[in-house]
Amino acid sequence: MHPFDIKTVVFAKHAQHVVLIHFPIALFIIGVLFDFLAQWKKQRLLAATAYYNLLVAAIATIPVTGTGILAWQWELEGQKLKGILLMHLVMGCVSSVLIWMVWFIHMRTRRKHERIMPGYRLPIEAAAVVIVALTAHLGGFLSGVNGPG
Amino acid sequence: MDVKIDNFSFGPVTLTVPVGATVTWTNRDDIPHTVVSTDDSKTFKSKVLDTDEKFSFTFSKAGTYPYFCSIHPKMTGKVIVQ
Repeated sequence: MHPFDIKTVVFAKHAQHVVLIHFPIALFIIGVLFDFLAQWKKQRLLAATAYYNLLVAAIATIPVTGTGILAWQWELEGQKLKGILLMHLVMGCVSSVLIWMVWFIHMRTRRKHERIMPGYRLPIEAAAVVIVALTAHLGGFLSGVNGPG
Repeated sequence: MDVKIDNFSFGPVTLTVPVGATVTWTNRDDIPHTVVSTDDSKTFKSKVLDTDEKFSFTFSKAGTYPYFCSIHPKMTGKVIVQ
C-alpha cells in the first residue's frame, strides 16, 4: 500500500462507513428517547441531554455521509446505482437531513430561550427514527450483517 | 466455466481454466455484488451485479487472477489460467 495513496489508505476494505454509521444511529435514537422522556417528565436536564445527543448525532452524519458517498465514487467508480444500493443512498441522505432538521428545531428553541419545545417536533422525530432504522436495516442487509452472510 | 455468487461467497473459490476460456460470474445472492480483479494490471472489473445478473470475461493470458467483491471485501476468489 502506498502511503500517499489517500484513496487506498482511507478506503482499504472501506470499513470506515460501516463502523462510523453506528454513532449517529445510536446518538439520534437515544437523543429522541431523552426528548420524549423530557416531554413526559418535564425535566430540563433530560431536554439538555437530548439536545447534546442530537447535536453530536448531527455532526456524526458528516463523516458517515462522506465515507458512504466516497465509497460509492471510489469503490464503485460512481456508477449508476439501482435497487437496494440506490434505496440505501437516498434513505441515508434523507436520514441525515432529518437528523439535522431535528437538531435545528432544538437549537432554535434553545437560542430563543423558550421554555417549551414545539410539539410538532415529536412526530418529525418519530418519523426520523423510523427512516433511520430502515436505512440502517438496509445497510445491514447490504453488508451482510442482517443477512445470511 | 461458471462461478456462482451466493451467500456472500464465490463458488468455486479457485477456478482453473485454459487460456482463451470465458468465465461467467452469476449473482445468485439477494444483494448486489461486484467482481473486481486485484492483480497489478486490474484485468477485469464488473459493474454492480444485482440478483441473477451476469458478468463474463475471457482470459487470453496465462496467470493467476485474484479477485474480490468491492462491496464486500471479505469475498475473494481466484482464477488460474494455464
